[in-house]
Amino acid sequence: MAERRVWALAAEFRGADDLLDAVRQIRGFGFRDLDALSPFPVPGLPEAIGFEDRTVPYAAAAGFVLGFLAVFAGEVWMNAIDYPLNVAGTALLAWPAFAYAAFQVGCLVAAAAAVAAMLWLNRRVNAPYDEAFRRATQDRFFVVVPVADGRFTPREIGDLLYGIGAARVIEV
Amino acid sequence: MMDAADRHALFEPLTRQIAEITLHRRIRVAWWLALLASAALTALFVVGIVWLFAEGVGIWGINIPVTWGLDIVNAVWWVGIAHAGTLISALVLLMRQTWRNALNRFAEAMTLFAVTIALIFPVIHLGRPEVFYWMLPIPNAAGVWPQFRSPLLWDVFAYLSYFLLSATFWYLGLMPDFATLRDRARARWQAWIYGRLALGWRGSAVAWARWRQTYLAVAACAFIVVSVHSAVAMLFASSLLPGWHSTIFPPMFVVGAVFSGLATVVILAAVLRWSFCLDNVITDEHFDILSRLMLGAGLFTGYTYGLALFHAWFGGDLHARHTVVLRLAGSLAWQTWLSVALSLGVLQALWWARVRRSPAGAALVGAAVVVGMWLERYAIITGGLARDFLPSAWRDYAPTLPEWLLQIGAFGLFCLLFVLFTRFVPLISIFEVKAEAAANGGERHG
Repeated sequence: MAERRVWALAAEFRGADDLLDAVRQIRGFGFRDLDALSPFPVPGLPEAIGFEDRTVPYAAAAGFVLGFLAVFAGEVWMNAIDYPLNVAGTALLAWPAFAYAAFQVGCLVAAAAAVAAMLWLNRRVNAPYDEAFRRATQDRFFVVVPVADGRFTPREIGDLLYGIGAARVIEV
Repeated sequence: MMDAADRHALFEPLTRQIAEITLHRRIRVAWWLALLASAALTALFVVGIVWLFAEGVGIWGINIPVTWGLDIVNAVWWVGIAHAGTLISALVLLMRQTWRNALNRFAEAMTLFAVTIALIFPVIHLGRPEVFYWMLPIPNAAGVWPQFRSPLLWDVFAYLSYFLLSATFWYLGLMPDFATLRDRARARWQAWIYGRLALGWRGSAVAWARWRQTYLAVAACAFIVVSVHSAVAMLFASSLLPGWHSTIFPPMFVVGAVFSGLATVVILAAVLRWSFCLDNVITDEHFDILSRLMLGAGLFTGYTYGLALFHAWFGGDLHARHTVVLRLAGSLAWQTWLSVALSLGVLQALWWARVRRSPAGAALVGAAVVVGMWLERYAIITGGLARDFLPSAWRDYAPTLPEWLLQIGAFGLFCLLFVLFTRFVPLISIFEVKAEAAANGGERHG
């Protein structure tokens, strides 16, 4: 039976600091496309792994502006144009009063946009993974190094990972 | 300070301690009793609603001039309680305070359940609740639109947006914990359910990075909380009634809401810590911080009371001044003084560190505050309406049995939702407690 194709090697660590050090060192060796798994968000890890995407905050900001403007425009159309109702002579286009619902819905749309952007952009990384990483949601930290670029053999990468203090190296 | 290896050794015990409550812990008799008791009280809520729908709002004690009774008191009070959950989970998160990590999950649950109840009351008080959707801008054959210049409509949007936003924030924080439960579950059905809820979460660095951005963005959106209770207060402030018509109302309502909500968080923290042996997670330190916050919010509330008196005097309006005199010494003065004694009076016990750091002590003060703030809402709403401009139109209000059924039943419904929550959802944020242990060297979790 042919040996299972190894597409990546994963090094297991016990702590967040160890993980952060490992990611920095491995990237220092010139490896790209690393993935890391941790049971909680590790401060500094996004920078260490080269994550620079700002789509989510921009989606939230755009969501707020769109939500606010859409509701505000709707209010103006409903209360000042389509169904103008004179209440004790107060202004038909009462923008301070209209701002309330517009602000609230703006916040809601911003949150929805942020969550939708996150779920969509993470659709590839939020996927079933190897059984070996079961403890990544409990108490262990992993760095996943792809072997795809072929510059090093899995054995060489494995030695390197043990060299920087991995508790265990697994083939994925 | 513990060294790194000791800190790492904390991750698994902490995870086990909290996850086991949801996954494998044998259901104790006490939990079943709590479930039964709260279900029985919830049944009263159902009875109250069926009775109301069958007979109409005439069965309530409300009439002219007191058209708002316990229904609106509860709508205001419950949404106010919710505010402390948002404060602890979102605003304190933005201030990078990590102590919130042990509290935010159940505080957010409290928010969600309290807003759910707050949403029910305005709908059932409508008189014709079957057409509640008329409050929403839905195109209709009559060509009529809701009136967005009215604070009543601001509240519709405030309550609905707040509810959806709280639910979103809660779920966002739960995603990684659901994954933890999925990977620990021994029963297949548990792994299946929590796996579906986790949406494929596996803790990848990129996923965490985007998750963190989203968490902060949604937390920033939670500033909506300030506008929610302001909108509620505008219902009163934008009327012309003496005692209501004051610019101090929005800030007064917001701090009062946070005050009563913090008191509820303290009570829940004490109950959860005792029921589930969480002394190492919800520490005396947490009670100290919560008590200090409660004391601060209470003093601020007292300050706004003082300002309300000042506004009445300085504004020079005869009716407003007269209302103050009636509130302090008239036939409804007992409401004012009982409320102040329970909320601000009992609160002073928190100047002593021993009371602040003791769960039982802080929770007792919290209970007094919760009741006191309910009375304050009662006094403002029903008292304000009972003493109008025309003394000949004055009429007192007394809640009737169907209203008390709803009052007690709403409390039961809250308890029921919370009791279920403690079993099926991790009641402490597992990953955030681990993050705190990693960052603080686990001094508090040793």
